[in-house]
Amino acid sequence: MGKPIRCFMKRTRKENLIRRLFCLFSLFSIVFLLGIVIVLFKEGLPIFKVISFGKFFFGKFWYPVYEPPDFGILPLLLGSLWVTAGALIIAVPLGVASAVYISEVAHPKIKGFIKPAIELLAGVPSVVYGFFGMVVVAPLVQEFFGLPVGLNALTAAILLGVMAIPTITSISEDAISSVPKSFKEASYALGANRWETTVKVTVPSAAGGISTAIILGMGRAIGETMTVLMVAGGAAVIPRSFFQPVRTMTATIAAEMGETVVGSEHFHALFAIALVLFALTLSLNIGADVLTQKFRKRLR
Amino acid sequence: MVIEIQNSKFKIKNEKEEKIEKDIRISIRDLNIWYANTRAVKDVSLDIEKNKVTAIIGPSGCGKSTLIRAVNRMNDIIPGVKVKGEILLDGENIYDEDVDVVTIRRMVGMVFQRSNPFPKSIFENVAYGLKINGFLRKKEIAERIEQSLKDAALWDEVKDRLGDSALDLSGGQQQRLCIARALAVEPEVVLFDEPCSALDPVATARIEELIQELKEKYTIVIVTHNMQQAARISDFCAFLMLGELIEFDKTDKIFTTPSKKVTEDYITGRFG
Ligand SMILES: Nc1ncnc2c1ncn2[C@@H]1O[C@H](COP(=O)(O)OP(=O)(O)OP(=O)(O)O)[C@@H](O)[C@H]1O
Ligand SMILES: [Mg+2]
Repeated sequence: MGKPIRCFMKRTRKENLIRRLFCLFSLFSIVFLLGIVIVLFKEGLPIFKVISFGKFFFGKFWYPVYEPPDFGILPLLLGSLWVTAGALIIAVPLGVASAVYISEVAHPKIKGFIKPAIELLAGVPSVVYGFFGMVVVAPLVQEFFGLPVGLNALTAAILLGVMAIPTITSISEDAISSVPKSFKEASYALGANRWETTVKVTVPSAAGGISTAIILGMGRAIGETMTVLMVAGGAAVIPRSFFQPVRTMTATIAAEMGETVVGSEHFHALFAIALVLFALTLSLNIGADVLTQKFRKRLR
Repeated sequence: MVIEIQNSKFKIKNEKEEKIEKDIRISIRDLNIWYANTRAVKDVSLDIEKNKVTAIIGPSGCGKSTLIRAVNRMNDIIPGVKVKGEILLDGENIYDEDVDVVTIRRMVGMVFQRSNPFPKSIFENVAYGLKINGFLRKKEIAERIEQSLKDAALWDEVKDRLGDSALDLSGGQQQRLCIARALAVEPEVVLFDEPCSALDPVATARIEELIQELKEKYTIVIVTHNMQQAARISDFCAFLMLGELIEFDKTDKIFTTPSKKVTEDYITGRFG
């Protein structure tokens, strides 16, 4: 009788060990996240001893190495928003249209080709996008619009748009193809054709998922660093048109962090920018989550 | 000469059709339906009378849904379905090549097993079919919506909250909303595929009562699993098994003196 019991105990102990190990693994990323947040606050907040919130967010000049320095991030904030907005103007129609095409229109064979192709776009390293942007897109934009420089907000928006398409397409496609078949049947039974059914029933029923997709695509665009560093032109001035060179928050941090003295005001200012970025992406993620929940409830 | 002959032929045909039209609205002729290679409906012929309730009963998987969905060509949207035979709606074969599916579906409405209102407002749900079919005047749409919600016995419960989401309604209300949605485009025939199978007894009674009222205006075909329901609400009853029509007669006759042994076995619950 003793033997099986011992065996049983051994197993539970082993299982416990495994469970703890996995718990540890998952805690690891949370600890990491916590670490990031703590460092961001610790290194970012001190800048506000030197400069007020208002001057930081609404200051029109970013001259961090002048004497005295200016730490106004408005040009960078607007640069980011400008480029992101441009990217969305490109990525939303293309991404959603591709999703509709893939899930509702395309022949299975074509679908089997297009879907992986679009997903492959997501796997291209951003430095490659940047390179492609500098060598191909920027000259084209420059020539087409007759501009003095090709590295500007438009070029960055085009590239970020293309980079956001896979996110938007694959999440929208999930949402569209999980619309219950019964909705479509009801629509057909009332005499609607495929087009009317898609536009008036299927896509609106997937609206929650599509908005989530757009928000996540936006997050992708706002957070992107390498590509914009390479193609946006890098001028820290308040953008007035898409044809101007701009500089985003991410590009600023990437470009300047290596050259600044640790613990200096400039250093703290860069961390404060990172904090702003973090807050922005966090709220986008929360927004996406809320929408997904709402969407789920609506479809039961 | 030739023209005359053709003309007279045409005339004779027309007279025939007029005779049919008097009481028979739908005439199913030697209907066969395949899913890929499995034949789900086999040589079914039956006539459905105007302003009557015709029930289709039979064990699960015998082809009831396939048969009823053939009447408004809903099977068309399933890939790989093949249909042979004819379904005459007021004398015209709905499977003719030059027939517009939209017209058929507008004339033959359908209510499904599980209520499937769109995730839109109550108003928008009923308005959908109208808008699809080209009704654009606000006043006309509002009037039609009120009328069809009244016909579906739902008006009093929802008239003060037409803007609310249809998904906030109870199951029975949702099913009645689906009925209202089907009625809004003023069909002549309404198909019900097990409309009560997801409803409680009270909601079921409500729908049954409603179907009785609807037959004044519409021709009704209903698939049901529930023998008592078929007996209660139908005038005619078709018994289907393994895709074949075993017996078709007045409901009274089917439930009192069926002519086939299998029918009797089925309705007395000896199998199925
Ligand atoms: N989409 C489909 N593809 C392939 N076969 C199908 C499809 N739908 C139904 N069938 C088959 O056709 C036959 C008839 O199905 P049908 O749904 O018409 O039966 P039913 O009488 O309505 O059954 P139930 O009472 O369970 O609803 C079944 O054998 C079923 O497996
Ligand atoms: Mg069925």
